Amino acid sequence: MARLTCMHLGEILVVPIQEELHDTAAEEAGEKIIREADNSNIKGVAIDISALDIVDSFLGRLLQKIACGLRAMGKEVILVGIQPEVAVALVELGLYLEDINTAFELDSALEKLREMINEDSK
Amino acid sequence: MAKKDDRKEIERLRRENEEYKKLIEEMSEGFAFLEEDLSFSFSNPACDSIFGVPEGGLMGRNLVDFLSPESTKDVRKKIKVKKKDKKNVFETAIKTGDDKRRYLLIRSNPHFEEKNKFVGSFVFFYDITKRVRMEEELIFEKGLLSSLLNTIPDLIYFKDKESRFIKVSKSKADQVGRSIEEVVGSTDFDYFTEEHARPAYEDEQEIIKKGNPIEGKVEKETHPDGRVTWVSTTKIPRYDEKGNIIGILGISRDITEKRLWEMQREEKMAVQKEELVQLSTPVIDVWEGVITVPILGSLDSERASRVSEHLLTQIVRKRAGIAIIDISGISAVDSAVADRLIRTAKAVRLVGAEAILTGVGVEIAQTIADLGIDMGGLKTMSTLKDGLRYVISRKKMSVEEEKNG
Repeated sequence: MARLTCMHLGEILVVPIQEELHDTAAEEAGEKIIREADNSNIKGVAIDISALDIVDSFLGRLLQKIACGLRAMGKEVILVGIQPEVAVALVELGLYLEDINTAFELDSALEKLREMINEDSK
Repeated sequence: MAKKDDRKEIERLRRENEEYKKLIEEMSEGFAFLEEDLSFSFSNPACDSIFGVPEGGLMGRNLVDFLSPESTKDVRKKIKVKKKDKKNVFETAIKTGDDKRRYLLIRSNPHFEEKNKFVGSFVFFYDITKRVRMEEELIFEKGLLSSLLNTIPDLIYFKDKESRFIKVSKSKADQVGRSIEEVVGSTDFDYFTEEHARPAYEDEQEIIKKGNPIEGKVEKETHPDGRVTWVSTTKIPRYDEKGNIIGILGISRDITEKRLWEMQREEKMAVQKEELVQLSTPVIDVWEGVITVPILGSLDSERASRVSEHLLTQIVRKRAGIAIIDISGISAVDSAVADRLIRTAKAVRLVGAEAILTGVGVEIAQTIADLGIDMGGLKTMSTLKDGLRYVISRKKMSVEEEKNG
């Protein structure tokens, strides 16, 4: 059972992923994030993976899927805290995650997310 | 009546005599009668040939003429020896009439008159030169092998089809702490742990089955006391006269010191390589939130991933938003290099920054055009100056945007 704390900060949902998630636990977490975001107040989601040292191809593709799902619901998505080793590993695997925005720290992530949300509302 | 019988008897004796004479003339063994002073009073053709003289050439000559001064006394004594139930047989060397050196086996039947006075001997001569030479050669070869096996520092070993030791050099016996004789019949499993003994055994069995030698294979010898030594080993199959494989011959040279030195060097080189990456990718702060890194020299995939990691770590540490990668010092750009640069840029994006490529001069630009390389959305410019100008104007723009907000 995945223990996922989803924090509501106004229009933004912040989801920190604290530990390595595999297989069904990871998929369940993904489903939970999409369910939490399914709320008219939420306009953007920041997924924080700064606690992860390793992201394998399964998790990489799962993150892409979650972002896809969230955007389909009209929410903006940003991935926060990809560590250098993780970045290198993902690129080696060919997972460039090009359609997901990224930021290194939460404050710049929230800033970017707010910009994106404002763009949408224009 | 008596005369007739006599004549028959004489005839018979004569015929018998003729037959004996013929026997002696035709036999291949040398046969002679030596007088008391060892001069020849009779010799058959075989004897003449053994002594290298024409037929009849031994008459009047002395055996001593053909002997060396050192052996003369000895032979004189031995010719006269009459043993009770044993044959008097001995060997000596002669120099023939045609100046050849031969070895003879002599069988002497001495005759004595009353008071044990030696009057002469019936002697058989056998040419054993060939056998003696073969023996001499064998002893010589054995001596060579012995000195080789006793003194050579390389480990030499002969094994049978079951990989058991048949013969080893002293150095090999010393290596396993036994005597040369004790080692016979044992195997590698008696002296080394499985880690070394098993593959060594399998190598040998493979050679015995297929006949393909192993040359200069580096092996790690693991000893039961935990010691590790390294050797360079050559193993070849051994054949019998019919061409069947009957075992192997192995030579192992100790390279432990060399190997340790090599391993140290490899370690040192790895450290140096790492240092080189760091030295060759200095990361410079050129503006607020902007860092630049020049890439000099070649960019193979190993270097590319090291440079990436180093760059990304610096981006994170310095909280840079933009990384300018300058490639004016890069030695060559082909599709593989371009691919690596693009991947680095994508990794930069993943950590939340933006990558700009500068230093794309005339040559590189032409290469990119010629090869039709797609830079995948990566922003590229010809000089660092252009890159900075672009970055600064963007920052100015965002400041203005905030002002207007």
